Amino acid sequence: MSLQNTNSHIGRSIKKLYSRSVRALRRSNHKDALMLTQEIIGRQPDHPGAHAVQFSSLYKNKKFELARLMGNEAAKLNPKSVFILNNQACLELDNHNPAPAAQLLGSLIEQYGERAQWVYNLALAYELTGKYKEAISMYRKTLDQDPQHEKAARKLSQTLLLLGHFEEATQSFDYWRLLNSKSETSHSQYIHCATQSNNITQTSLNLELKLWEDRFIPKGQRYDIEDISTKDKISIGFIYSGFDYDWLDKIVIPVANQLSNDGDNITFYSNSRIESLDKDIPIVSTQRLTDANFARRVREDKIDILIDLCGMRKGNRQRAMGLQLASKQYSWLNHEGCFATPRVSALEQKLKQVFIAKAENDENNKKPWPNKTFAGIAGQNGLSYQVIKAWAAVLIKCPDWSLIINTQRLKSNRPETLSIITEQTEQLLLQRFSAAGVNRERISFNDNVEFDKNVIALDNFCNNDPVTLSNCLLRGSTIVTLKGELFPGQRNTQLMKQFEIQEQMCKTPSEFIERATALANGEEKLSPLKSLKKHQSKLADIKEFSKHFRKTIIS
Amino acid sequence: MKRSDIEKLFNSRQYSKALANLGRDGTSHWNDTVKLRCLRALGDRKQALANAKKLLSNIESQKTPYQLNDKESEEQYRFIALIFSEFGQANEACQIMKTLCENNPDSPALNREYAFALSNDDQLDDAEKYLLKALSEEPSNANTHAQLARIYCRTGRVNQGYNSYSRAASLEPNNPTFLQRLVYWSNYLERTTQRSNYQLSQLWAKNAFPKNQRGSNTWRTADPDKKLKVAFVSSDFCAHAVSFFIKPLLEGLRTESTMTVVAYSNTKTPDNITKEIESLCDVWRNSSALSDKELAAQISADQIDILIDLNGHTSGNRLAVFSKHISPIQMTWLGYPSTTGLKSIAFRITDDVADPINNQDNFYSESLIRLPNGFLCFEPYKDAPKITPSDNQGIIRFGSFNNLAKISSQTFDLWAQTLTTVPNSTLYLKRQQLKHNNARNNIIEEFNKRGISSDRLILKTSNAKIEQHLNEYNNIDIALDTSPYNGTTTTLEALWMGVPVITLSGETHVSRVSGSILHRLGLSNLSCKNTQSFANIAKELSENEKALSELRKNLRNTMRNSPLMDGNLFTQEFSAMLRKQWQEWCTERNIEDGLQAPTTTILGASK
Repeated sequence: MSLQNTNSHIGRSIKKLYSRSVRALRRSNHKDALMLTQEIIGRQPDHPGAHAVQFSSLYKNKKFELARLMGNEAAKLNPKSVFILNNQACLELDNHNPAPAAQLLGSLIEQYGERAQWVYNLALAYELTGKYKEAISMYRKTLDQDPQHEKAARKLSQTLLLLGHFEEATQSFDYWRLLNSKSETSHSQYIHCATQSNNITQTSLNLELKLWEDRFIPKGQRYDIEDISTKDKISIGFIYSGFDYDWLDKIVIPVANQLSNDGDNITFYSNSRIESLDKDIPIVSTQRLTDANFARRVREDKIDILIDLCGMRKGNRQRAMGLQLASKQYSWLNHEGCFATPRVSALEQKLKQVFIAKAENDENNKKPWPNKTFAGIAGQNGLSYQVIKAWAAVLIKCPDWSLIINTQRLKSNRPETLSIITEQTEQLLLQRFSAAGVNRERISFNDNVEFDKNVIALDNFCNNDPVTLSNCLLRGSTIVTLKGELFPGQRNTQLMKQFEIQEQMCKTPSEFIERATALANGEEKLSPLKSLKKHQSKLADIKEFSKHFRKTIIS
Repeated sequence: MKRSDIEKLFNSRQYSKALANLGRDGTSHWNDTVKLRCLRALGDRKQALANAKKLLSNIESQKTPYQLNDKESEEQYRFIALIFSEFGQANEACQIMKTLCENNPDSPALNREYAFALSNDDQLDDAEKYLLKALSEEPSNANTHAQLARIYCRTGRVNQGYNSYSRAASLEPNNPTFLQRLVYWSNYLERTTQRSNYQLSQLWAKNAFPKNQRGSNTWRTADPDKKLKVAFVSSDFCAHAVSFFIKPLLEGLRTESTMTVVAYSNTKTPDNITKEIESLCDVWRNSSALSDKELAAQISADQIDILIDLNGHTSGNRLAVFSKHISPIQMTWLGYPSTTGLKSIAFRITDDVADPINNQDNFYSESLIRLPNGFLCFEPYKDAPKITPSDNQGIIRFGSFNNLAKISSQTFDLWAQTLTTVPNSTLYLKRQQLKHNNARNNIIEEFNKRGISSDRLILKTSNAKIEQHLNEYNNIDIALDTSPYNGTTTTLEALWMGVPVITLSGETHVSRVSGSILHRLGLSNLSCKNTQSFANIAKELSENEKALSELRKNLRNTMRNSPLMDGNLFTQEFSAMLRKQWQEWCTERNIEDGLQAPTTTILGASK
């Protein structure tokens, strides 16, 4: 047989094998399809069709890892196959390889134009590579193509929030819940975001929470809880979710550690690690627990007092708390001021006292505060428009002054990601100040501002940061603050009361602007806190505070 | 006929048949109730009220020919109250509902219905109170949230209103009505972009008309020169802003021999202006009692070539009719400031100031047609009072007679900044809703937050007659526009009374309408981009008494001589545009004809 004949025979037999493999794939007979395509590839390694069938067969048979491994070759040989390119991109995304996924999707979109699912996948790829701005743009495009794309709406909201686009995130969460109204998360995240950014009135917030309770907390079901039997040793559970914020380290953990040292049983229910907690305090991972299982777990742990640190934020356990898991249930620090269940109450109202661990700044390396510079106390990620508007108005009235924004950097086991987030949030703030008429050059950022008695600090009155505020006041700085309209903007009130300077709080944004301007122009004298030591010792006395704390939560 | 058969007729909207088959003597509770339901559904105000009154009197004097238990009696009272509320006798409805609520104060349904009566009786503060009470008992009732939303919006608290509509929509995600309200009210929010509005509109369209697609009715002869049948569909052919703008066009089109003008009027309460408009149309069809299906059939039968919607998402709209391809070309114009979200409406009429040519076009489901000299043609009120400004005694009097719903947080910022920049000034706001305490308090509080004390505000409820209303402009020196939702008629009225209007031009159509109007008058210098410029323009103008006085003297003439009031020019441009679109349709149709048999086809993307 001549070489030509042999080749033609092989060609015919490959063609037959290929036809059989396609038939097998169509009949979902994946085993045969794989065997046949393997044989073809053995004979002709660059057979595009065989690769395509093999990939499809593996994918449809849910052998994702194998599909992913051979997918790149299949995509290369079949550059126009929509199925292979998109699904290989998905597999790469699942395997946390966003760069090749983005490449595949880019090629797909270039060839065939934008389709909602491809654009969405591309957005995911961008998000995984820290290109949040591009991700936001792609999520938006997904919704342009398909306004009912629920996942895109959710991811868009969460990414916007991450970068500090509070108002846009609120709007987006609102949209998401239209698409997924049966999900309690869609409602609670909207409530959380709207409250943190002061984008809802108190009346509307109450209505939202009432509705949430009515829809999502099972009716007529609650545990029969006995009163706390012995007051010598009590079991206290803390519910926590999310990043490590400053207030967790400076307020909650010292209290929890102290109570544990004093003999109480402390348990943390958290969906993330908490570094600075005493080692003998158990942390129950709640990431995979449903609300019902979470409730069971708390009951098994015989928790007497449950302290929620989540409010309505992502990962909250309001549904479970609505079943009355412990004899006393409180929410502390990071909540909305009112709750979806009457079985939870605000701890602040009972405590009437604040504890904040002493700031550990290195006094020796302290640099002098630059002249004519305000310090701005920002929140965890960004500032809402209302605050920017007020701060910008101050800067416009004081044209020689600049502003150093004290950004409270988030801590995480993914520092690279966080640094990208911080950078992009800062860029966003600069853009917003610029839009409000303040030159970017007048704004800078510092995550460790050295407050001193010459500093005039402008507060974030929508979402207070009591830790930085106390640090600022104890170092003798003058604070310009305003009582916010909702609880996140009213947390400083208690602190100011404790410092006996409540009268310094402004009542309206216009008063805030006037006072800051008057202080800057020397028309009003700086007002450092009197008897600093007394305040410092009282504020940072952990033993005293934990006694008070314990007594309060039991009573 | 059996009760079940009558119920069936009612449920299939055959109200007249159901009514005809009811026992005439009203011998049962059921009979009386169904009779009222039918009359209500038919919109027969006179009969419905007469029957409701008779029934009320019978119940009160215990003369009903049947025995009523407490529940049945309450049911009938509630239905009578509903009839009274809806047909203009809300005060009587309030009395009935008040008694019912007193007997059963914790009933959310009664509280809600009482609030409905109060709201129709314009007692909005009390209505709000009862709605909040109803929600405290029944937090997941979508209707109650929607009613509350309506009150919030009417009293100038649109953010709260929007939130309430959003809750209603989230409670009933398959009910497109609430979603449509969200679409509409999103135009009033400063955070709304063209993109987000488009997204919401599309979501509504997908919910309400899942099969809606771009296309055309091709069962029409493709004759580019034929006498066109152009039809306008509106619920506002009455004393409504839309009429002021449609009249000059209809007057112009009367002389056009190349077009037949048809009007489908959904106006519930016709008036003298309805009659005037009717006289300007070649064919007038009162379609207010027709269902969407019936109206669609009527339009199809009339063989309309170009069908123009004048409502958009405003109340009384007939977008359901437009969701089908009833006419070869379907357009939207005038009544609503953004996209409808319906792919079956191919065009939206605008201009290049209100909608500058940029990538925002992608966020309209329609293709934008920009008329060269503006998308509006204004006909002022004939008996407008003379321009005789009163003495301001050295105090600059800013003013705005815009709808309270348009006074957004951004508007408060603009106005407060203006009042701060011009210290010797006051702000005069006039609106019917200002009689409600919640509306007044909201305004005072918002200004207070911005450092403006209430003694600089003059808050008045509006006068009933238009002459008096216009005459009030003689007590204003400079009008301040609202943002993002600009005034349209209000802006034009102020200008007609010689009062310059300062506006902030934004990115969306709704926030650029006053800019478009001022541009046509050569007054683009009164349009600005940010709060400080807004206040600065106000300051400069207020310090330049001569310029103010010149404007006052000349504005009316300037308007008369501008394209804004040139009905002939506008008609020419409008009819030329219609003819051009028709010719393009014919060309496209002829190309398609060669390819396939006539059917509903997808037009090539004209975007």
